[in-house]
Amino acid sequence: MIIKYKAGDYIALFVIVDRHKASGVLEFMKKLGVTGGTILQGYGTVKSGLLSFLELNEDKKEILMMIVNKKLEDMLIDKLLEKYKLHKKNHGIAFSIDVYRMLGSHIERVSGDMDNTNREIKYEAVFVIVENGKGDFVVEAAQKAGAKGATIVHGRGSGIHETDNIFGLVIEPEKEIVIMLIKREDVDRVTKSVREAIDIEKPGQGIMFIIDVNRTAGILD
Amino acid sequence: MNSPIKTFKEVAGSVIPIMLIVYLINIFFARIGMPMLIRFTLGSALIIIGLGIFLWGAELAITEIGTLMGNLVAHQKPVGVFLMGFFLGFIITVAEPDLMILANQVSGVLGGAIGSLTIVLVVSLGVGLMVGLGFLRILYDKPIHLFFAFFYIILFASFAFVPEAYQAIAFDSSGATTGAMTTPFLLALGLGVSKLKGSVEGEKDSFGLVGIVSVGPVLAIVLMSFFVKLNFNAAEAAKHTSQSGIIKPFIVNFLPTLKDALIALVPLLLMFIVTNKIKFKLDKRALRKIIFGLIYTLIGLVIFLLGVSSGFMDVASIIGQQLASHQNRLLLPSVGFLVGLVVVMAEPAVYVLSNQVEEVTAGSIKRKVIMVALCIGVASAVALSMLRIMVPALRLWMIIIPGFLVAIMLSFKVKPLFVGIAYDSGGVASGPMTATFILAMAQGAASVIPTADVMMDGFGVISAVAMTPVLSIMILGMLYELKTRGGIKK
Repeated sequence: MIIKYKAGDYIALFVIVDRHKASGVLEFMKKLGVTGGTILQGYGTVKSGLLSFLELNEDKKEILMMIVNKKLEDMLIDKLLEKYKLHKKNHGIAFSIDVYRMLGSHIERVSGDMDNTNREIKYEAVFVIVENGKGDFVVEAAQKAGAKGATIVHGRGSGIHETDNIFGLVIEPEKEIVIMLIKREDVDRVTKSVREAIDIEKPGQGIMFIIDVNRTAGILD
Repeated sequence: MNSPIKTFKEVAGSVIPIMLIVYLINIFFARIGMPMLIRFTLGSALIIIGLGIFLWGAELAITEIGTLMGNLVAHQKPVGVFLMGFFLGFIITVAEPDLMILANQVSGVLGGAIGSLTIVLVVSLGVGLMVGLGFLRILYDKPIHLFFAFFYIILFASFAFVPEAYQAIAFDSSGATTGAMTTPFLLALGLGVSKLKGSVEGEKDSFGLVGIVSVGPVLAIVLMSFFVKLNFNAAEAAKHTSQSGIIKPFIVNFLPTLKDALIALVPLLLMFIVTNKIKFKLDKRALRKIIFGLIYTLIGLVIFLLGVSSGFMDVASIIGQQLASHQNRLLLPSVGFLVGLVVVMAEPAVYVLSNQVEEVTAGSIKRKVIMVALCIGVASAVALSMLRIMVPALRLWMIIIPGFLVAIMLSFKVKPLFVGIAYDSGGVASGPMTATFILAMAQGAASVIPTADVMMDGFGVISAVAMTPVLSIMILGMLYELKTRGGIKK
């Protein structure tokens, strides 16, 4: 069977929880009709003066990514809130993003553009990809400008400005991907602060992109 | 809840079972005595605190330095790779406190015919050689199972010409070299060297270095036995003598423990400072993290070792004596099984290894699975060793050689990643907890059983503990293989 969809029919749902919890969340989501998900391991930063003085402010996290039908969006996030008590401090966060296109063996897109009317965006997801070890600077600069928390994922990759190899093997330097959810009115301030802190305009320093977020859960203001 | 509290919760969860078992033994089988029990409880508390602090430090500093060094190694020419591996392996082993303790014991048994420093140097040369070869193996991508099969078969063949006491010392020193300090460092080194090769290749290469290092001391001591022929006088074996009092042992042991911890850390610190000046040039922030990490490592190591040496050895020795003299002959091996099951969970290096397994496989091989396999492996090792103490006809080689042969055969079937993890866990499982609690229990038992030999039987325990995890993780890998293959077929 071929699934037909229009742009905006599907969402990407992200759930960030403590280490060892994401498998359980995925099982729970499957019972509610989600077909699959991918888990990444990352780090969150705890915002505490004493702990960061002692260099103990890193907390291990897992990031669960799922592509689901938009019809399920509200139900899934409500159930997550209820089961994992995301409204309480440090119980994890969830957010969803519209998917414009997807590809796969049983999927076919039908024409038509996204309907962007009646959308009220409160938060935006800011992704910053930088050299390994610089993630902390990004988080620090962002927090100065009003960001609440951040999750850091390790990865690797290289741009055209950084090529290196040994014995004919291409080296892809280690990277850190910083994911932050920022209030729409704070986004400009936060991105400005991050740009200045890591000199992102220079080639090879990193990239940053920003995506509108539909719904969030677990962010405490 | 934040990370420091979580670490303590996890550590407490692994030490409390040991406490419960000891209390239960006291109630049902053996009278340990109130002062000793209080001391044991204090020691356990110190172990929880120390291990928790040590683990923050290892993650912040030791792992970080290892990864940086590994990256540096990967940028050298092949000769440089070998030489740097040799140097790093040598310097980290000379600094290992466990090895120094063992060397002193061995030297004592030999009546000082070989100085303890000589033994440390010989073992460290063996380790250096193997780290160098291990790096070259990663670089030239030689299959890990062939590497191990080759070395172990040579070793066992040479055993035909090596006296039995030498065999025990050889395997024991291999357990002693991969302690709380060297394991995080070596694991990170392997990760650093292999990371530069890309995802799939890198993953399987990051493990195995600890296992390769464990071969070094055996090789070195076996070689030494061909040149230095000596008569062993088992009667002179250093028997563990109990200390008395509740608080006094903690105070008496403090300075020696601090010295051991410093000896282990200072070379690493110096090496890091020098290389940082020349090569890494870390910014202030990254440097601050490493410095804090090293401070935690030192504090944690001192508290942990103090708890182990003052609170654990005497209790274990008494338990061993009492159980061995009990009418029920099956009691000693069965309690040994239980103790093995829980003691391995409190080994610091086991934590570091299982966490790294989870990290590298992005959580697809879970920490708990590795832990379960390790617990079963070590528990059967301890039970078998207790049997061996009771039954004179059961010899060490009858346990070790078949075990390793099966492991070698399995290593041709399972994924290289599991081969690496399996050989690593052998070195990792035999850390300070095993060397004190289980060894002391075995020696306690041996001292009561007339047919047993305190020296030889004590050594055998560590060798067995270093072998069984290799086997149990290999079997786990086999199960994993069958499961995932089935999954793909569907």
